[in-house]
Amino acid sequence: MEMEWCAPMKGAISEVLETMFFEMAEFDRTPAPFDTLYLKSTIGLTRADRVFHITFLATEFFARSLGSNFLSKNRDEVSREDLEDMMRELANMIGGSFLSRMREQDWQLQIPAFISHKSTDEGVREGLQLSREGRRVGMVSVEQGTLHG
Amino acid sequence: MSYNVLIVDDSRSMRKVIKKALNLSGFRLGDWWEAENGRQALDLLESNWIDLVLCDLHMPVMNGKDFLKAIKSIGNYDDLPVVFITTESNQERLGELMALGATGYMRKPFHPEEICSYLSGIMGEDHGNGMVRTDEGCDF
Repeated sequence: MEMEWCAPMKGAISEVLETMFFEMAEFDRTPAPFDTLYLKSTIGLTRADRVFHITFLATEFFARSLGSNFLSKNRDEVSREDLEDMMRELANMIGGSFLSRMREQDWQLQIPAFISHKSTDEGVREGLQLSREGRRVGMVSVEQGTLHG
Repeated sequence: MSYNVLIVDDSRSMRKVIKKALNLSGFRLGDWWEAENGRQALDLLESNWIDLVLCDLHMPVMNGKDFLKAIKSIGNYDDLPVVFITTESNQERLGELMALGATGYMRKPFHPEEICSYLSGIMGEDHGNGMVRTDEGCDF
């Protein structure tokens, strides 16, 4: 799983964004720092004592666009609770689609979590960059972790 | 005839999206209820007439599999269709749900317009677009 996650992850993100959020996924190879607020959700994939965390980051602007499309609301009607719930569900669907593409039958999805809402790049590592009209709007990373922490 | 539906999912957003998809697709939705987990769903089943349950699998408090086991053990709900809408793709785990008495499953993400034909098939109606329910479920 460590080496070959990028292509299936791109497929998973594209499927989820296009099917449920009516948003075309654009991927950018050039890492760039977030320069605005972002939201973060994560989901664990476990097998025996091994765990990987899929982390999804989105700028508040992008998350609000996704929430607007997902819930059929105007951007300014999407509440903070809507955003957090939508970010959890996004991580859940991306994780599920990713596993099905990896053909990793013995891995199990955990319950997704909304982690934080921060204004800096603190804790953000390299990953698959998402962009829209040339602006970086999100990132997905897959990192190995520990089961309890 | 319209159908009373119970939507069980820990995501409030997903419950809204499923309900919206049912309405937009032309599925004959009657009354509907929402539950955040299997425990809440059991309580709602006790006090309401429900024709169809749409259930997530991975939920806190009581997950979809335990909910299915619970209603099958009660015995009053043998004819109640329970369809899982889930991110789960593991065939063995999905097969377990079918063996426990699930009526079928659909994978998230789904195209909203495809819900109607699948569920109409489950409810014994011909929606006329050629989709056929199989024991393996419907993966879209």
